[in-house]
Amino acid sequence: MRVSILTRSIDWASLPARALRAANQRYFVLTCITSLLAVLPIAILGWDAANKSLGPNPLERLLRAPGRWALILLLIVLLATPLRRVLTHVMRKTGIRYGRRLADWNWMIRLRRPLGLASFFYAVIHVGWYVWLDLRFNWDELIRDLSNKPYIVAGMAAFLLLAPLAVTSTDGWMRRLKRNWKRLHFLIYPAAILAVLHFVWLSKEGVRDPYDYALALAVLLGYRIVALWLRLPEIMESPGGEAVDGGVRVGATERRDSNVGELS
Amino acid sequence: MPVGLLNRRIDQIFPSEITPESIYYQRRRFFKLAAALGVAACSSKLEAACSGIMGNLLIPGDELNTYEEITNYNNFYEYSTDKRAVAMLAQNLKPRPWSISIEGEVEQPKIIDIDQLIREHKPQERIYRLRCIEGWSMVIPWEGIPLCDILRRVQPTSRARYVAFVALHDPARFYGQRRPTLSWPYTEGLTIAEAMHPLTILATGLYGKPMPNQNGAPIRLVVPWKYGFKSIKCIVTIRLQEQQPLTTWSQASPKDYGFYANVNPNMAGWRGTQSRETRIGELRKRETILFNGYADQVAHLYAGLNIDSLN
Repeated sequence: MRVSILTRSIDWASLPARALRAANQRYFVLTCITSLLAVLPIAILGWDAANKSLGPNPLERLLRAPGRWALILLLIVLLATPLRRVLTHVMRKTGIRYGRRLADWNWMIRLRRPLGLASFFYAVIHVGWYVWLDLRFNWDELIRDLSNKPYIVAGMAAFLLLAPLAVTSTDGWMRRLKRNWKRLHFLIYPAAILAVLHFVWLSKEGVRDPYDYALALAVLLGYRIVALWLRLPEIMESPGGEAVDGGVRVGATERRDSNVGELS
Repeated sequence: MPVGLLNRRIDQIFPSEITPESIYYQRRRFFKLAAALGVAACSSKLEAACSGIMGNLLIPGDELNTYEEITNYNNFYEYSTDKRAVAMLAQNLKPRPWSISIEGEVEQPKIIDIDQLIREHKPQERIYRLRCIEGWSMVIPWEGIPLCDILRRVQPTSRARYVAFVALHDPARFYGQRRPTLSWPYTEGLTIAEAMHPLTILATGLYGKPMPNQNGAPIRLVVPWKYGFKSIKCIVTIRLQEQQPLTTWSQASPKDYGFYANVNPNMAGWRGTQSRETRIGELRKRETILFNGYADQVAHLYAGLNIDSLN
């Protein structure tokens, strides 16, 4: 089994308990900060709504802002693995002192869970407000929209693909689904593509915005395709490995090893 | 029309007074048809058809949008595709001095200064709904000159079947024109009948003030029964011609932005139907009305045509 320096991870089980607690505390603090940052956009929206300062088209603002944040957070989740890999590689090549240590962010990989959940949180608000504020729970209108607006179909599909990922994001579901968990969470790729399509299709000609997101997604997916092609290890980052609170449970190390072996 | 309707604030006009207007206008169809056919003769009856007869044509539930709303939510790709950014960006426009060339199939082509045009034609107040193809609408108290008043003076020839409008092309001022977002300059067009219709105005102001830069100073078209993109801003050329002009948005996407572009809840483009709209300032959507609620006034222009396939 080939374990490159890139994929090396800390053997949690053999660390003293104190170091473990410290690491978990750091992770807890990071999760809290991330969550606080992630709820900032909705807090601003709520503040503006309370002060009646949503602008000339409040419905548009209420629908678009959460949709945009759902997509941004989804792209950040997809950014974690390539960013870590590339930074580590660059640091290793340049040989900067402590560089690799700075770049090899295990915590970034672990933050994908709260970030992914935040993305889904905004997606729920986006779809919820569309059904409530736009459609006023008129289901006939929803059927009409689905039948003649391709961007609604793409957006709904993306949302439906994200839902099972959010539900199975817990440690418990990871344990239960075993290796199928990773297969299931591959759905983030089609979901991201559909979300970007949704944005591109609903935008008017001449509006450049959605294409910036399309480019970002193309780069993130392109990296994975190229890396897979070049047989770089652990391209489809194994969330079952590092995202799990490995130190707490016995057996996590084993699973991580098997993941590495599988992909190398 | 009830006496004094034009002189009253819209909240003092009762729905019961509005309904009879449609009946009132049926009597006027003869004049409008005469105007629509492009009869150039300057009869006093035509004059009546052109100006001062339209009233406000508001529908129950219509309320004026605020000056704030009207001047801070603008589709003006010459500056930006961001509707909220236009108000600030457009401050550099300099709408004076400005002249408009009226040319093509007319007996008396001319280049006229905007201030002279305003002096000669004394703009009238017209409160219209504006429906954007993006799915929002506003009620705007324009000040403008009926286009037929202006066209009648230059005497269109019998070959004038269409009117093309061209906006200013100046990338030095219009930042947005430095990118090929659309094919510049912005060009729009109407059939001669639509152009001669008394509802069609060249607006020079709103809320009793000169046209704000971001709304298309100093002079813009307003065709209230068509989607907003037909109402071209910052006009420098009005050309009467025999061929249908190639309009800017129809080049970007012919199916979505056709030449006619009448507001029609039954027609669907790539982004779906236009059956509902958001009135600016409101949260709940409204149903969109055929011809933006001006069917009584304009439906005769399309008599014999299938309005649901007239793109």
